[in-house]
Amino acid sequence: MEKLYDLWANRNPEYEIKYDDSIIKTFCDYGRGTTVFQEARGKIFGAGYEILIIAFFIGLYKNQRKPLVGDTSKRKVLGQPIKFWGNLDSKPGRVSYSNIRKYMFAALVARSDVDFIALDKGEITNRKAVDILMTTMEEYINWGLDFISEKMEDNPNYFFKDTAFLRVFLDMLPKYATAQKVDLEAEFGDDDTPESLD
Amino acid sequence: MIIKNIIIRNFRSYYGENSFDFSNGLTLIIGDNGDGKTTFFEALQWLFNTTVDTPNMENFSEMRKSELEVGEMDNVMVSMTFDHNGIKTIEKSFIVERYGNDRYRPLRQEFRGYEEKDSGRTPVDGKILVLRCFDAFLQKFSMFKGESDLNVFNDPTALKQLVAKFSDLKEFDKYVGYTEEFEKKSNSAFVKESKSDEKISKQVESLDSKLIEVKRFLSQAERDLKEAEASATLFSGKIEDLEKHKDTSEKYTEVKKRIEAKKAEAAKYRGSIAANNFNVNLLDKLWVLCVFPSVLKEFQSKSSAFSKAKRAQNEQFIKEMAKNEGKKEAYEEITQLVNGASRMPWYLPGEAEMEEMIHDHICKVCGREAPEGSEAYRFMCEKLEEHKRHALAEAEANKPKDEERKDLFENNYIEEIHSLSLNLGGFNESEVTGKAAEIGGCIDLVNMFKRKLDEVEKDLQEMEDEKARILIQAEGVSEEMLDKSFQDLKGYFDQKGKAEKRAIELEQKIRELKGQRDFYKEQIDALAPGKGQVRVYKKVHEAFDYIYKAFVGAKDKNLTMFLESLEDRANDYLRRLNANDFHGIVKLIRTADDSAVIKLYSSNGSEIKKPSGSQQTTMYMSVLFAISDLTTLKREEDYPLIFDAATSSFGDAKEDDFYNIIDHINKQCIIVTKDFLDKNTLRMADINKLTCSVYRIQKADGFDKNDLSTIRTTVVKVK
Repeated sequence: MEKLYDLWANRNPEYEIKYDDSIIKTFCDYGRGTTVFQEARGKIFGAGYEILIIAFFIGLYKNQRKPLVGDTSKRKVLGQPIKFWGNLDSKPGRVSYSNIRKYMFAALVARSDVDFIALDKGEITNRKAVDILMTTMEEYINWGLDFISEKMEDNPNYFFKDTAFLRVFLDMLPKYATAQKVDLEAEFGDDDTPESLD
Repeated sequence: MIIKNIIIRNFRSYYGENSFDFSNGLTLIIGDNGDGKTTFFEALQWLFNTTVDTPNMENFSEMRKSELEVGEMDNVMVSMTFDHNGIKTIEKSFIVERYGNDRYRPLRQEFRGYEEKDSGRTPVDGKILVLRCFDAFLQKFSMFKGESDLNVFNDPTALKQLVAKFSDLKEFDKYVGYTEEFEKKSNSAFVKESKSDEKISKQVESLDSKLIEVKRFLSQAERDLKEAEASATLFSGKIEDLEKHKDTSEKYTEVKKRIEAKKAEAAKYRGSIAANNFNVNLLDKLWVLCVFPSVLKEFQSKSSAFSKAKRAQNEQFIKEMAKNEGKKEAYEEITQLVNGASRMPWYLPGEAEMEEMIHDHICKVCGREAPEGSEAYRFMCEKLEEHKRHALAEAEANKPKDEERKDLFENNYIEEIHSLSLNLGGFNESEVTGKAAEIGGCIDLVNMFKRKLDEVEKDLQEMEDEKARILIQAEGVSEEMLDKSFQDLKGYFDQKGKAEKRAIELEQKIRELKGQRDFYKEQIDALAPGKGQVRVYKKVHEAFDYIYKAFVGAKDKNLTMFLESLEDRANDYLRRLNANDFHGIVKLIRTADDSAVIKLYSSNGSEIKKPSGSQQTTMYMSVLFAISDLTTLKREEDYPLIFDAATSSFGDAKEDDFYNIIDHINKQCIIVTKDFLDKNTLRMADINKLTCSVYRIQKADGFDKNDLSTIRTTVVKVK
């Protein structure tokens, strides 16, 4: 019996094409291969999946899902299957973080409506179960991308700061939002505080 | 040339017409920074410049310009009246017209000259007058801007120019040339003629060829010596320059070292800050999991719930199975025999025997009859039924077993996720829970680095300022020069040493060669020609040889005398200018390329390598006065010395001495200076001690600091 995790990790999530230029290529070296010139090009992240991971966790933590557009011609499949996500060993200055996949999988299991009893009884196929997990994943990512996109529409430079993405997450920590946020602003001298996600 | 009057009209800050009268001796023009001192000097430079004919709008007074109405014109003019074999005036001017709002244009520039003659004032070409009375060469030895301009011998051609202008030495050149030619020709005539004299021909031929060779070596050696001396001079000049700035250079090198160390420190902090890329850490350090603990809890409880549910269902299932098993056992219990004995196996007797016995109404096992309706008959019928059931069950039992043993759950996905849940618990869970704290710690750390970096950058800025101050103090010395200073010094010493050693060797060689030359000459001279004709040629050559030597010696002697007389006069001035101070002795030293360097020596013969600023200034000024004297003697015409801010290195005491003395030097001198000013107020007590004329130039009150058109220089004759 193949593990559910492996079945899931062999998949490639879909996302909406409109985020290709506006987000993925803006923040990642997507479609250029791994190069040492990432910094020189001012990209914050490397591979294209990195911003999808960020988007996924934003959607996950806010528990907000957004179904992908129905028209399949407006969607595309990310080239790299999930099983390679986080394998960055060859990238200068970066370290591998392949463990992230386990956590993503766990989150999907927690938040997806898969009847594991039925699955184990064989009443539904594992393929069907993985489909459900993938849908959850894609919808979280989709919501996260939409969030990033909206922020950038308001302020195109919003995420081009040392701490911008980090702050999005820290703001979701209740105690951090009140205590450390102040410090962060003071220390980094940014008057442009990201809005709360709430 | 004695300057009588200078008029400056609408020239930059000099608004309207401003007139200066000059006496034969010293005139002081005193002004503070921005009061128009340099403009005065530059107005004169503009007047004397004969190379530019196009007017420059920038020279027009901004104040006057702001007043011009459209269609109105005014002129910029600088004129100088002077006495040079009669009163003469040169006047340079151009007209500016306003022809629209914010539209101005300069019209023709004119350069006029006038000569006062018995017949009255005669116009002449101003340019020609300047070239005749005060050409660029004289300007070079009479106008000086700042202290660094004063060493005229910085220009290697200066001595040659002086010699050419003010001595008859260059006359010697052609005579030396002629006599050398005569000597050569008379010698070759003698050598040629002596060939006919059998008595000496062979000796002459041999001696002459040797002599020619020695001379060739000699001239080569002399050329080499010149080169070696030039290179020794070059390197000692460089060393001097470097040593002059040694202190500065030391300070500079020291501060630079500190700057480099600080920069390294800053780079370290920057590196540490950069190594903590917060955005990338979200992934690389899994900071993105900082909000994950609640999700993890959800996952753990869900997987544990599924796991529990699955186990419960499985237990239930097993129980069901067990129940069925129990029923069978109970049935078997009930069907046991009355006396407790075991029943016969169901398959005995067989089906065929049973049917036969029922058909025959007799039990063939016990031999008793069993009529239809009797208990025995019924027993046999039941037994047959049971047999059939068992046979059927047997057939069922022979079917594939999995049908019978089927599990409730065929997959283990719940076990998979439960195992993942256990895996993410414990140590991994505490790691995830600790992410928020980790981020906080990292931010604190980076903040600390940033604070340190700020401090380091502040220090760095202070050091850069210090470096800038050093550079400003080392006026005129480039950063590269200070930078190279230490590395080069050793190299220069080596080079200088080599060149000097080579010069000594060459001098020795030259002495030897000269000895050989003289020896061969003497030998030739000692020959007694047999023929009268040859004797005559010999005498003629001897005569020309003497003449040639006389001219060469005279030329050299005269140049030496020229420099000595310049030196004597310079020392005289130096003594007077430094009446109450140590002054040393000026020496003008000839270099190999017939240029000169000015050096200061102590009376015990040692060179003062690093004269102070004021020592240098008085030293150079003394030489300038001496040159001026010399030209006066030679041309029977004096010319003025004009200094712009040449005494900035003087202290107050030195300043007073200097002016008291220069006040009594019989030479026209115009000094533009900010001396005698105490917080923008004239020190009249000191000024009154002087006999010279004094002008005060000053910005007129009420100017706007940001508006050039409100700046105007006023000229007031103080005494």
